[in-house]
Amino acid sequence: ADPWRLCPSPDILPPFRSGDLPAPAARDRLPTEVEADRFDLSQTGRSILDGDVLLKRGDQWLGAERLEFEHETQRYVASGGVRYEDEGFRLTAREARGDQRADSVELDDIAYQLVAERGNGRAERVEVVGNDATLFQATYSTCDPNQRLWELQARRVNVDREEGLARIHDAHLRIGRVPVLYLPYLIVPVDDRRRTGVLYPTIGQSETSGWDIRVPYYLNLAPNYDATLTPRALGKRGLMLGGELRYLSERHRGIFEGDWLPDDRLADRRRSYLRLDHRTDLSRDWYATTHLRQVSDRRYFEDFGENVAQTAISFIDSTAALYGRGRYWRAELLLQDWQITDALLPDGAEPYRRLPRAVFAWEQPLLPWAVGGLRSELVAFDHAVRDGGRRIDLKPYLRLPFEGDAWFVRPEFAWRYTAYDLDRRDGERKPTRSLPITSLDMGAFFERGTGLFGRRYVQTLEPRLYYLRAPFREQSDLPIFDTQELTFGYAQLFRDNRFAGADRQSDANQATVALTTRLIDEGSGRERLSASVGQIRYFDAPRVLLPGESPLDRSRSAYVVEADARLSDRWSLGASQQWDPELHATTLSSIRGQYRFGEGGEAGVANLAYRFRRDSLEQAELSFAYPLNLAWRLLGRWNYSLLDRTTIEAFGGVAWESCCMAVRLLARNYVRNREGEKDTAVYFEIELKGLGSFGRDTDRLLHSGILGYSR
Amino acid sequence: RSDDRRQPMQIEADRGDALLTDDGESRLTGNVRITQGSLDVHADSALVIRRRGEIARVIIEGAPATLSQIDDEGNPMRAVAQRVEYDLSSDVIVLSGAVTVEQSRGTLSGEHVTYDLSTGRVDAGSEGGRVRMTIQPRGGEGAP
Amino acid sequence: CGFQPRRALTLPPELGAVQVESGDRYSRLADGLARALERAGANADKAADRQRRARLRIVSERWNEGPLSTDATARIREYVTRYSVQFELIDAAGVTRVPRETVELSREYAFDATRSFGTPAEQEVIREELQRDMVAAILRRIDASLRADD
Repeated sequence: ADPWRLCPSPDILPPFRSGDLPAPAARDRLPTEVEADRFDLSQTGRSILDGDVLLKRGDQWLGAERLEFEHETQRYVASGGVRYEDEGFRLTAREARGDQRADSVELDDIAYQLVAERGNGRAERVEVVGNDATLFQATYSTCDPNQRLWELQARRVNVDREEGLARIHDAHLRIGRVPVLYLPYLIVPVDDRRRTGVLYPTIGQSETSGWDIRVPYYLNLAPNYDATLTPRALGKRGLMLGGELRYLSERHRGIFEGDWLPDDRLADRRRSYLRLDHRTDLSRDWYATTHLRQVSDRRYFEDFGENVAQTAISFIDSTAALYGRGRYWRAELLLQDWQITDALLPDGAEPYRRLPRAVFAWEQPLLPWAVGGLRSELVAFDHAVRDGGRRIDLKPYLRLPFEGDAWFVRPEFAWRYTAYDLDRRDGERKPTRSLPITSLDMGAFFERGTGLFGRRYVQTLEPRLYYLRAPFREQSDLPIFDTQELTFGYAQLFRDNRFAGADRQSDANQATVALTTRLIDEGSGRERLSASVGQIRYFDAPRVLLPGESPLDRSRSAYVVEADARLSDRWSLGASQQWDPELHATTLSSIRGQYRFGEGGEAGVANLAYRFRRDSLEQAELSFAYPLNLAWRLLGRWNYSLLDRTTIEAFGGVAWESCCMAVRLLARNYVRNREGEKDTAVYFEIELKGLGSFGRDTDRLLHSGILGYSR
Repeated sequence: RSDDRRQPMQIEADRGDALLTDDGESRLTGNVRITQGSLDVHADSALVIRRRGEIARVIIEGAPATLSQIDDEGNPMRAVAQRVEYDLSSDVIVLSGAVTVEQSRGTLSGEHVTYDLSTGRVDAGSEGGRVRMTIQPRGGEGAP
Repeated sequence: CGFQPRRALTLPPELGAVQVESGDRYSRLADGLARALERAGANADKAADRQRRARLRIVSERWNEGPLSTDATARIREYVTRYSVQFELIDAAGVTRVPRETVELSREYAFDATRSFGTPAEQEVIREELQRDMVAAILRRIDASLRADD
């Protein structure tokens, strides 16, 4: 949402220039237009104008009561209600002295506004030279003049519009009338090119680390790469350095980020988290990426994670990959390594390294009703603890998509050949597996007009039948490199394998019966409801199992029901249920609802969700950002585990927001580590819009905690 | 130049009821040309008013009338207007009606411009209209 | 009960051939949509001149893969992969026929940190399925939106 939506007027100083604003060309090549009620050209080489004088050149515009222009030196002095505006600034001043040849103007006793970022204030003097400006004894704020909630008073402010930044020297920050902070040096973006919020000092406090003060320094090294260094003082742990290097060129771009704490007093060791994301466009069809992650120890995210999502991560992976594609083919070459970030997992719990993994996929329409294809994968698996090996998996297939407007019949014939070259000492060293897989996917689309609650809808009925046949192959001797059972759900009804990964290919003699219906609003064409139900009938019970998996002697899968409804622009509901007739029990039940409050500036959201997954979890969740009025919002989240009869995460708080300032106060109770210990933290944050935020950053926490939350 | 006024003034035209008597007005029309030193005026019609044998005022009109002169430093000045009134006793020329004055300092335009030959003072816009001037960039790398 | 077979995916003739455009030239969604439109008879490539082309613009594609629920030991129990795409359809004359809108698909899957060797493979299966489902969802939206106009 627009951060300035709560401001009384869009501009502090109304625009002076009117009509079509000329593009800022090279000013010194443009003629200067002057206009006045009266001209006195009597003195040679000097024109004196008075009476509503206007001076214009390119994007520069200057208005005054009186102007004296020296033609020889191209200098002028303007006085009497001086107003100046160009592409980035708007000023009123007592007097202005300009030099058109040097493209500079100096103004005294000014009030100014930055056109892009609402930054405004007063200054004793300002020197505008070309694109840059230096303000002396200036004040800076994004608040309205008569609603000065905060203001920065500085000895000198250098505004560099090329970089979109203002460098502020000897600044005193005042909140209300209370001087709060002295900052020798500070950077503020003056246009939206730079990310806000990354450049300002933030002061916070946390249970795990004590005081947490960060002062970022922005280094604009070159037009296409810049760096931000953020020294960070942690009360209980010591001095930490955060760094970020961004680079962009015609074919390369990437970000390197690092956090380096040489000596953590609490953990008595180095703590660090380094990450690199890079991409290189090699040609029209080939590009390469690198995503490296490296953390110093397994409890790093517990101590430094910003929200539950980071704390809960068990593994991080680093990859280097090459991707290529053509009209009908796609190729990938990947190197992947893993690191455990979970304190309670034994060594060797991490997945296999893939050094490399090569994938080639080809699919081409051979005839209007025939599509040929191949999925192939060659992987070399390596592991610190377990035996490694090489595996090739080829799956050529032929699909015959017969399709009409209201029906489709898609038979598919595939052959899967998989072979290993294993490092293990006992058992077969080069086992193979080879089998045909045939499937028949049939469906039809029916529709009718219908009325509901007084509105016209098109209701569709989409029956679908999916038959899958694959013979049994003995696979218990094959290793498990990258395979596990796919989570059962509506999508699983139409997959040709019960497992993800090539180490297991399930046998099958089964048919899926499913039905989908949709309600489409005739007026807007919006899909208001889509609901599906389906089940697999096993003619032969699947016999291929994972090690330790109990046999599935069942003739029917669970019934799967999924529904999504967006009844109005405010209400949306979602549900997915699985009921297993063999166990006479619900195996999955998830219901979620969302309600959106208010409009525009006053928008709020509330979510309610219940999730039950048999033998795994049962949780309820409530989260809301409830707007009391334009200024106040109640924020809350409560995620309770019914299975463990404990709260996973709960926070509550209030957010007050005005035109140029926001204050957020949250109390949060959450599970901090694998031992299940809870932690209570208080988040107090003052955001001076356009300048910075002080206190603990709540943005990431609120966005991940409240679905649909927006500032 | 400032000594133009002491030069003799020639006035030519296709037709004229040139009474050239001591007092009274004579009207000339058709390719009127007035020269006096470096002052050179072209117009469609001119009204010459005499007092005691001396030309007191000249009112010329044209669509438009043009007037050019060289100032003391040798810089040319060229003016265009629908109506030009030259009062020899006060040495003031008043141009009005779509006036543009081109000088080395820039091109001035407006509805009403007074040009004081004795002081070289040019006043524009005293009758309430707006006056504009375009100043070309000079010196610096931008100069044409 | 009044159900009839669905009418064809109605791409009005004046829409002309539909060219799929995407900011990311490697976008597999763009490839999938182009092939699906071809099968639906809006042959994007064979149109005579380039001007007589409607443009299906994929404005943005965003993948978001992260934890959906965590347990009492702060471990992830369920992941969710969300795929949201913004698109608009502009006909050959430059008239916006389907105003810009966002379609979001998501899929939830279980995660057990002690047995998660196959999670990357499952995520890959899910990404491919979501991409195929997104092609169908966008075509449905275009069909419904165009039919709602006339």
